[in-house]
Order: sequence, then C-alpha cells, then structure tokens
Amino acid sequence: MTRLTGARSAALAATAIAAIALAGCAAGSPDSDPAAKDEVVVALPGDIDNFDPHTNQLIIYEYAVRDLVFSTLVKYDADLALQPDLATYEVNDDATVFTFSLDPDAVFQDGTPVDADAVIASLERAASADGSIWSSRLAGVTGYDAPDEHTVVVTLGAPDAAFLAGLTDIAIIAPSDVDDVASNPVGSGPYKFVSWEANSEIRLERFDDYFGDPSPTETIVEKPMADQQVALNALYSGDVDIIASVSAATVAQVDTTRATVVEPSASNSLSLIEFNSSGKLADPRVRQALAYALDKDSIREIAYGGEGSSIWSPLPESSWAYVEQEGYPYDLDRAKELLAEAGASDLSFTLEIPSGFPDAEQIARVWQQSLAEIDVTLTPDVTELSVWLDAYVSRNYDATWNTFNVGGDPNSFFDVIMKPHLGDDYPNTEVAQLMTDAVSVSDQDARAAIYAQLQQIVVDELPVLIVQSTPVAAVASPSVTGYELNPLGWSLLAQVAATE
Amino acid sequence: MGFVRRAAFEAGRLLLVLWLVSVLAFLALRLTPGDPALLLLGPQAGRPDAAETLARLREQMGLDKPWIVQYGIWIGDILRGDFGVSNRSGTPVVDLIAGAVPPTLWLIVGAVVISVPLSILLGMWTASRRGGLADRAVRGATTVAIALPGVWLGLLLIILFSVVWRVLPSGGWVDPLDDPLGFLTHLVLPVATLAVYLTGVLTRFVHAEASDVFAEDYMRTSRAMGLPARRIVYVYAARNAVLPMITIVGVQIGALVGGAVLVEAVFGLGGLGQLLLSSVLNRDYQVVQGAVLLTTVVVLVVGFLADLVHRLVDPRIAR
Amino acid sequence: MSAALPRERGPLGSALARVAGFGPARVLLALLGLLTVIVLAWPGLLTPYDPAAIDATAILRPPSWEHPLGTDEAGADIAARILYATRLELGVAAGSVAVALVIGIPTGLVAGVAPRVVDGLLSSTASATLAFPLILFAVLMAASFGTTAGTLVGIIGFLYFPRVFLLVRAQTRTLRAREFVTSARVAGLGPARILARHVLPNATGPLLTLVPQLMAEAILVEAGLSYLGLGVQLPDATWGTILESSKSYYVTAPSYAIVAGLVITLAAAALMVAGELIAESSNPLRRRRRP
Repeated sequence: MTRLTGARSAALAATAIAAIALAGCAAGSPDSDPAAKDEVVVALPGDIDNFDPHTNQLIIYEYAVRDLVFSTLVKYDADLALQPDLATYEVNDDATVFTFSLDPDAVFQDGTPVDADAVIASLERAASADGSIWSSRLAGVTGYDAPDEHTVVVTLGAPDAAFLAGLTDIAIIAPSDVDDVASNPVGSGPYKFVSWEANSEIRLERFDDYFGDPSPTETIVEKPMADQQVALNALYSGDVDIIASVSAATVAQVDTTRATVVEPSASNSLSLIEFNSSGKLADPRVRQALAYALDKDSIREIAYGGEGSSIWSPLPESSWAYVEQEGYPYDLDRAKELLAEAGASDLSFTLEIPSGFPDAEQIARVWQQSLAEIDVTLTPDVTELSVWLDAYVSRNYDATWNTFNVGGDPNSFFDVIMKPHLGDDYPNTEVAQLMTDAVSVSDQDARAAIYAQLQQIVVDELPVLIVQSTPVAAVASPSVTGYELNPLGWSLLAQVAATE
Repeated sequence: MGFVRRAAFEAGRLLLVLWLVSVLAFLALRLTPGDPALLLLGPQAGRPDAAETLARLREQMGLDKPWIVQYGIWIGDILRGDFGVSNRSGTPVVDLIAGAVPPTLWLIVGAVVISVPLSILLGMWTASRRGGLADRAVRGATTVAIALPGVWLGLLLIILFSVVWRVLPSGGWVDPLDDPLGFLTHLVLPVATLAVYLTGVLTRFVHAEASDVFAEDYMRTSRAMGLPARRIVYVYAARNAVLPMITIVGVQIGALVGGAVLVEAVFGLGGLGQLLLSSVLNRDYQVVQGAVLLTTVVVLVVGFLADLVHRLVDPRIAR
Repeated sequence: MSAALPRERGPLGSALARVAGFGPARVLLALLGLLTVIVLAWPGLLTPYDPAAIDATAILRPPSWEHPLGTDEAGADIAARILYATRLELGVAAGSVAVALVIGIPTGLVAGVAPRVVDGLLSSTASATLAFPLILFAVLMAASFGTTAGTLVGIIGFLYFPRVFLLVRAQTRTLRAREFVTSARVAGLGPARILARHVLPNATGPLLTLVPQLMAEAILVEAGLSYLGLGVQLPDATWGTILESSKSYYVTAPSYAIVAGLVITLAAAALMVAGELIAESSNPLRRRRRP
C-alpha cells in the first residue's frame, strides 16, 4: 500500500482546493455572490405605455424605465443631492452660464458615443418637441454651444439657480432613436430596453458598456400589478422580488418575517388641498376656517397608518429651505367664528379627488365629518383621472386634493403648483416677485431667506393647504440587496441584486 | 323560408347590431369628458404655454377633425384590416388585444369546461330524485351560487387559499408555455370563481329540462315496450338538456365576458377586461373602439353559431 | 332492481315536507321582509352607532361585543354602516328595475304588434345593448354624469331593459294571435286600448316573477361596479361600496370583507327565492319549470 507522504498529500489537498475554488468561480457571475439570480422581478403599481422621456412624466415611468435606460447631465443621489451623471459642471456666479464636461467613456446603447452634438440635440428636442413636458425647464435658454466634442455650454437669458435641478429630468436620447423612442427607448444608462408586453411585463437587460458603476443583475423584469395584495402574495411566494410602491394600508399588512419594508431617508411627497381662491372660497378667512377644521391627527392615523408628518409648510422637512410653520391647530370653535366673520356660515363646497387614491378619500371622509359639526357641507367628488385632470387644468373646482413630489430644489413646488394659481385665481404679485428673486441668486443662504418668507405667506393666506407629508414605502424580499428609495419615492434599481 | 335565406337574414341583422355598437362606442367616447391629449400631458397642461402643445397633440391623434370624418376614417381603416395604433404608445391595437386575449380566453373556456359536465351531472341526478333531500340541497346551492357576488367569492377564495392556507397564488397570469404548473395554479381560483356562477345557472336549466322529460308520457310508453328503463331516462333526458344548453351557453357568453372582467380585476389577470378598462380610463380611443368591436363580433358570432348548431342538431325544431 | 321512474319523494323528504307545513322558505322570507321594512324605516332602531362617526382609535377592529361586525378603516361601526346603507342599496336596485320596466314595457308592446321593420329596429337596439360591454358603458356614464346613485340606476336599468323588452314582446306576440284579441279587434277597439286592457294584464304575470330576479341581479351588478370604483360617494354608502372599501384590508381584517359580501349574498338569494315563490303561486303548472 503506498503511503501518502506529507508533501504529496499537501499537493493533493492544494489541487483539490484549487479545483473547488475554480469550479466555484466558474459557476458564479463575476461581480456578485455565486447564488445571485440573473433576473430580478419588480412589481409596478401600473403599466407604462409611452417610453418617450420627453413626453412621459409619470413617476412610475421615471424610476422604472427612464432612470435605467437613460442618463441625464446631472442626477440626484439617494438623499436628493445633485451629482454629476453624464457630465461634471460649472456654474457662473449669477447662474446664467452652465458649462458641462461630458464623460468621454459615455456611450449610447447603440454604440454611438455621447458627444456634445447628441446632448444638444436631445436638449433642443426636450425644449420644443410636440408634447414635450419639459419645455418649461429649458424655456430660459438662449443658446447651446459645443466648443468641443466633450463640452456643452448652456446660456440662459435670465438667472435661474434651479436650472441644474431641472436638468435631472431631461434624458439624453440616442440620436438614431428619436423617431422610435416612444416604443423603443435607447439611451446611455445602465440597462437597455428589450421589450414591452402590454399589461404584462417590461424587460430590461444590463448594458455592459455602461460608463458608470456596473450593475450586478443581468435582467430586470417589471410587471404591472395594480392590486397590492396580489403583489404582496407574489412576493411571499417568490414570483416577485420588489414591490416598487405600496400604500400605508399595505405596509400595515406586510408580514415582516417574509418581506422587508423599505423607506427612504425622508419623504418629499406632499398630500395637499388646492383651493380655487376666486370662487366660493375667495375669502382667506374661509380658507383658514377650513384649515382649523382639519383634524390632522385623525387623518394621519386613518389615511396614513400613523406615518408621515403633519407639516404646514409647502416644503418637505428634508429640504434645506424648510422652516417649520405653526399653522392652524384643530379647533372647530375658531373655525366657526371665522366663518361667521366672513359671512359664510352655511358654506357648501365640493372637493375633487382623482380615483385610485384611498388616502385622499379618507381625508375627505374625516374632513367632511368635522365640517358637518359646524354646518359646513363638504361634498367629495371622486372622478377618474382624465375627468379630474380636465377639472384641475381648467380650474373648474372649489377645492381639489392633489399629491406632489417636491423635487430636490424648493423652486419646484412654487413653479409647478403655485405658478398656475398666480396666473389665475390667486394673483399675488409679492409671491410672484419673491419666486423670481429666489432663483436669481446662486447663494443658498440668500435663497433660503426668501423661501422662508414664501412659506410664511402660503401658510397665512392658504392658496393651498398642506395636509401632511406622506410616507412612501416599498417592499422587498429579504434576499434583495442594493435597493433604495429616494425621498421622491423613486425606486433606485440600478444596483439591485437578489439571491435565490 | 329556406334555411340559407334565414341564415343570411340573421347574419344581416347581426351586422346591423355590430354597426350600431361601433357607432355607440365611437360616439360615447367622444361625448364623454376627458381629453386624451390632456391626459398625455398631465397636470402641466394647466400652464399657459401648454395650449399650443395640446393643439399639436390633438392634431397628431386626428382629434381635430369633425366626428363624421373621424368615424369614416376609422371604418375605412377597419375594412382594410387596420385597427390603428394606441395614441399613447404607438403599439398596434391588434397587438395589444392579442396580448390581452389569452387570460380572458382561458378563464372563460376553463369555466365552461368545468361547468357544463358538472351541471349536467348535478342537474340530471337531482331531476331523477325530484323532491328529495338531494334535490332541495342542490336547488339551494344553485340559488346561493347565483346570488354570490363574483368579486366577493373571489376575495373569499383568496383569503382561504392564499392567506390562510397559502397553497395557491392570489393572482397574476402565467403563460402556459413558460410554466405549465404555474399557469394551472394561477388559474384555479379565477376559474373556480367564474365556474360557480355558471354551474349554478346551467344546473338549474338542466334540472328543468330533464324534469320535463322524466314526466313525459312517452317515457312510460317506452318502458311498457320493454326497453331498459335506465337507459331511456338518461339518454332522452340528456339529449333534451344538452342540446338547448348549447344555445344557453351561447347566450350566456355576454354575461360571462362581463363576469370575466370583474374576476380579472380581483385576480389581476391582465386580460381583455383590464385592457378595456385601462384604455377607457386613458381615453385611448383607438384601443377602446377596436377592443369593443372585436369582443362584440366574438360575442355575436358565438351566439349565432350556438343557435345555428342547435337548430341543425335538434330534430324537434322545425326548419 | 331500482325504480326506473324518478322517485317522488324518499321517506326523509316526505317527513320534512310534513314538518315544514307552510314551507320554511316562505316563513323565512316573511321574516326577512319584515326586517327589511324596519331597517328601511328606522335603521337607528337596530344600532346605537352613527354610521358616519369616525374614530381614529378604533380602526379595523374585529367583531366584538362592542362592535358586532367590527369597525372599518375609519373606526366606524360596520354593522351601522351596512344597516344605514340598505336604503340606498335597495333604492338603486328598485330604481334600476323601474327604469328597465319603463323603457322595456312600452317598447316591448310596440315591437310585439308593429310591422317587421319597426320590430326589427327595436330588437336590434335591444341586441346592441346586450352586446355592448357593460364596463365601457358604465365608465363613460360615470365620467359624464358623475358617480352617483342616479347614474348607477341609469346604467343598470339600461343593462336590463332588453330582458323586459324581450319578455313583453314575446308575450305580446303570443297573445295577439289569441281569440280574445281578435274579437276585440273585430269589435272595433283601437290598438292602444287592446294593448292596455287585454295584452298588458296578461303579460304582467311573468313580469312579476322577473322583477325580484332583476332586483337581485341589480344588487349584484351594483357590487361589481362599486368594486371597480364606480359606486356612490361618501357620505353615501351602499353594500357594494362597503365591500369595495374592505378589499384593501382582507389580510389583516378578513371579517370586514366577509361581512360586507354576506349581506349582499343573503339579499340577492332572498329576492331570487321570493321570485320563485311568486312564480309557483301564480301558476301551479310552473312548479315544474324553473326559469
């Protein structure tokens, strides 16, 4: 019988170990844990049928497709701080000239390089194309220049400190794709678009030549699942790895032994009431009375499961410009007094609500009940989105509920929500002036002081009434890593990975 | 009137109905508030600079022309086989519908395949035991089966099988080619929900028809002539019940499609019902019009064929 | 050898029938009817709670002595909500059937006697209504006229008018060939008079059985439409909207959904059985034929 000498057995052992190690390496994918799945399945709250980043502003589209397939010049990180994406940037002191230095490695998914011409073409398209929803962001641009292949210079006619934040939504489309982009988007992001089957799934595949951090998962499959219970059960059974957006009611029902609730560091999502300040509710005392009659504590419990903050300011707590406002503590007697003062003691008004937002309906229910005690009749009118939108856009309402994700820059609230009112039912020149002033200077402290004034005025005069900041949450299976939500409620999917 | 002539007359009437439905769908969409261009643009459409964009969008969708012209263009395209494209994604309507048909089809076919044999068995068995305990029990059960709201039954089944016992998925659609087992497990609860109602209706019908046969005089005569009793009962009763059932199922197709919409909603199946609902909510005119037209054609044709087959097969009906 | 002909009744069956006397179904229905009248007139009699009373500290409680059917997502007592919703629920069901009758009876009568063309047109309209997808119709009606009880009545009424139309038309056609009609015509009576005096009363028999059946179905359709979000708005509630609210909480509060649907099922079943009893009693021969 041959005896294994010490050296021989050591050599054998070493060979064996090496063989096992090699086998392990071959079986696993290069960037991740050997047991990682090739495919991560994400449940979306709805389907997406338009993939053009310049005409689709649905939140679902933005995080599920746009941010994965396209790159922008600058982007937000998970805390809503601005970061370079396709380019590093420089701004002059009075915020009128923005110089972008493009990353030379950036390349589109069709192989063509992301050069200054391509970028400018996309910006121009976003500024003027049929149906472009971002044209207002670029309305102040007087010129685009490309001093060289990798540099883009944008000049504005008037100072706009919020211009960079506005660019985070403007995707850069591959020039060859412009005609097809609504059904076949091609950008320079970490994932390429593969296919879309209506009401069934959207398929994205990793783009291996992506210029930024490589993604661990090869395929992302996104499935519209409007019913959150169905999605939750699919997650428990392993058919789905992530549910991108869940309501507070659903969060309360999650079995935390089988799933993880994911929340962002802060929430920028606001639940608010917009008034038509030129009709029945023209008298600010009436609006203040309605504010006194809003039982925010009950609303927070009933509509939002006790989550979120009952703030009064139109800016979220996470914003650098946020200043806490005293607001109107729940006081039905005071409300009644104010109504009597304004001669509106038996007020009756309608609250428009788009369908599909149970929290809005619960707000209406609680408010209605409180108001009934002081002889005010609130009639909720839940209508489908298109009908609600008609009424909203034409300001054919007494009051309407709305939900708004305040962007990283405080200007977004005033630009999107306040501007239409200023031009119509609430023509307050002081507010308009302050808004312009706030973007005319780059210094953040100076801007913060102006926004402090603006918040004070909004809360005093109540052209809009903030109900609270709403909790945003997602659910992920315990084996998922690299998944985060930003304060806008966007799923950050570029670095997700799941194991079996 | 000859058989062929009558069939042609019927076909003509069906075409009239189809045309009426197409006009109704077309008009109803345009008469209803909700602007597709506005929906595409979203809340930003309230800005003063949006008016021009909206006008351009409407023009792109062909909505700026008078209704008669729009209808003419649409019908003209349909006759050439072109159902148009979705005004939101540009995907051809036919593709969207083709993708949405499988779940609805499997759901309805599954429900029919289960209900028909089950109701024949139950109906005949209880008809042969008229007035007995089994008869009353089944009669009560069919009443309950029809009185159950489909959406509630679906929820109950989900609570029982997905939440409490965790043996079946609570919804979603799996392609049979991708995963046959998953396909089946995902289909069990929805088909059961639809089948309960259908079985209730059909069982009552079979029971009624079979009871008649059992009471007929010629039954006693046949027995007197010495043919095996059991065979008489079941063969005659079966034929009398099954033949008209073809018509009944054909007639029920419309209700089934409606019921399927609700079941699809409860279980998140993403079929025709959901396509119709979402495209109506999105005011995607081309998709809605195309889907309505196609489903109406199917419903009418199935009804027509069922009636035709019944007439051909049943010797009792005078030609 | 077992009996070839169907057994009339086994010994157990006969015994039960003797014990039942009036028939348990009739007794139960009578009781339910009484209960319904009480609930419609004085809902407050059966519950101390205000259905609109919100209580943020008592959300989604399961059934207990305090709240026999539990509380909903706003802390309101579910039993109270269901009781107070009965009025609107039955109102919508009855209203829909009324609409179906109002449209269906005159058109059915006319189609029964009119020349081929008119009949063809009316029948085609009825067929078109049957073929038109309910969902589309419902959504568009709701979008045009708001999600109110009135809109629901219109939608469901329109859905069912073809049933009434077909029934009345068939009855009219059968009856018009009968002797008493022919003699009336010979006697010089105008068509309207004949229809009103002779045809209509004979057609009402089957209509009487159709009405409770349609009401039952109207309740079920209302539940389905409310589930899709087309139901009435707060503070109004129907059993359908209560069921719709419950669907978001079936994991942690299954009793909510169970209770909401149970009342719908009971009401629909009761109405259907009532319809059958009417059919039986109005025509003894019908005991054998069930629609």
